[in-house]
Amino acid sequence: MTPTFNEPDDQQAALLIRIAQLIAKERLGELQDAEREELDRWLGEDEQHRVWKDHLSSPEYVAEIQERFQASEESVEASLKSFHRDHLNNAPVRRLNGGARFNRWWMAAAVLVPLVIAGVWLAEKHSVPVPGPAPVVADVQPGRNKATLTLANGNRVLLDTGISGQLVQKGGVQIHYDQGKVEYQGLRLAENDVTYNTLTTAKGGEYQLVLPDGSKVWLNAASSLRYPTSFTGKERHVELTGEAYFEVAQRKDQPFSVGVGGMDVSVLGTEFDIMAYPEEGKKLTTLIQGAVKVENGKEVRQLAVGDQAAVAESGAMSVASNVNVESVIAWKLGFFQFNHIDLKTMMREIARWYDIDVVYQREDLSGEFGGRISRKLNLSELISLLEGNGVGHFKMEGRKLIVLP
Amino acid sequence: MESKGPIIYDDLQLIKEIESGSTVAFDQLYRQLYPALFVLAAKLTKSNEMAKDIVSEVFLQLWESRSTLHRVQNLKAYLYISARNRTLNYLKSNSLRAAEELTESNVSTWEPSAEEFFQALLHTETIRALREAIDTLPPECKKVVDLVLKGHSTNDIAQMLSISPSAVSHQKTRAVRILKDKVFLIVPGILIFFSPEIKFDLLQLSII
Repeated sequence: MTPTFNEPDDQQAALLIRIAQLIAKERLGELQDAEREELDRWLGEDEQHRVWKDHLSSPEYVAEIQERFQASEESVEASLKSFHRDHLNNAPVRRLNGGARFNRWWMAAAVLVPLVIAGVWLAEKHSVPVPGPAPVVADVQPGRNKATLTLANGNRVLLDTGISGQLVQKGGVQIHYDQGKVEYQGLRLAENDVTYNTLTTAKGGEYQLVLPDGSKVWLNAASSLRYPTSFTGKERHVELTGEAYFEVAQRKDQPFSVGVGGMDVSVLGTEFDIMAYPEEGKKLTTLIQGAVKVENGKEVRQLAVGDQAAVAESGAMSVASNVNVESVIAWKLGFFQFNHIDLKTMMREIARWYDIDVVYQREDLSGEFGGRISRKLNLSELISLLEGNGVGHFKMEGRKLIVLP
Repeated sequence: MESKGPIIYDDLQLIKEIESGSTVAFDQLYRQLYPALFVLAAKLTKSNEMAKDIVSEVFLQLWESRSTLHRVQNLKAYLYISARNRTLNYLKSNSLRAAEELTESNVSTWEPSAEEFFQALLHTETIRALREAIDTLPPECKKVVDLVLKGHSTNDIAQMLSISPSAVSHQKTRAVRILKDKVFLIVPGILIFFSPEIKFDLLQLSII
């Protein structure tokens, strides 16, 4: 009973899904010019297309489909439940967004499932959803593409969502910035033309950087990277604070290294994440691909893929294998992903992204949490997810988040 | 700054999650597309019972073949086509059975043509996308938009809801703004959530 895969049909279906979305946008009065053209082109292709679309102008017809939708939406949960019972031998995880009929995919991404240490689904215990916080006047927005670029002469350029532009620096180095990414282009400079720039994100900001050698760096919130405008010497060296994900361009003759206050990570061509927020104590280097060496002044350890080196404040280094890489790099993909962490660690990450302070009125902070949640939610939405899953009760006061007893 | 090409990242993410066995991701997909697939199958088979079985099978098949899900480029298209194929199988076996049993069957032996299927897909998907978008609106806004979509004029709506025409227009504008800000970049496959774009003037700096 495997459905035959018929490519033309598949493409036709994909096209019609796109057209349906354009028609929906048109109905909502938000069709852009280019989209209007796209829709008109499709309508002009075939007399039948117009007929198909015209059907949707009939209120009776649309009302009829709407009714069918309504009826089937009401039976979704029951149907999903029996599907789980019959085929998955379990029950579906309770919906988090009780009010809305639909779960948008980003809500799917927003599902946060706390685990107690034993791995019991805590969510199941809280069958009555805890109402979210009352609507507040000004919700706290999530972080966004926002950074400050500090040039060699101390001038600062604010990079924010929607701001784009370009700069030309000494030696002809060109810097473009647009859509959350700043990119360096230029030939290898003479040694004395090289200057240093710093890209800094505050709490609530993240930004992507393409270095002069083509290496890519994703800078998480409350972080900074100092780098030369051209890599000239025997090695490529940058300095990091906070957290960044690196995709290093391979250059055999010029090793790449990241300095993080007393710790040095040297690489050839690879992908890895370094998390070194002062408030987290230890510095974590996680290797996603390739090979890196981590050095703390006393020892050097070579990491294999999936390894995570932790350098404690004391300088002691330990290496764990097969760590959950997905949760380490989730931030880069737009999620928080927690994997057996305590409440305070979780709240620190949230605080960095929402640029808030967290105050604890609750004394018992024991328990471990796990789950995944979108970084695109407003703080109030995030809080109601946390509350709905029994993580705790919270109160927002401006940019202060109080963890209630 | 409207994105032009289809952004498939979230779609891929969903596929990846399901492929790795996440029932949470699967549930979300189920909730998101069950109604549309059901409406489509019911339209084609003219039977709610059959539609129910068909859609369950579509999802079961998706789940059982999740290890090869990365081959699917457009999840939604895949599910619609899968529902179509199953519907045809159902209708075929039904008419075969009717013929074998030589019964005066009231089961339809009608088979939808490709055109009928694609038209039904277009209509179902349009309504689905609209409902999904409207669902994110505040209640008062939603009421107005619901009526707009049913084809009522601003004045009609004003009368129906006992509010002024300008209040209706206001809610319409508000709806558009919210939809634009919050949700609305629908791309083939999946709805992408976008944070509000903040508009700034283009900043140009000269040589430093």
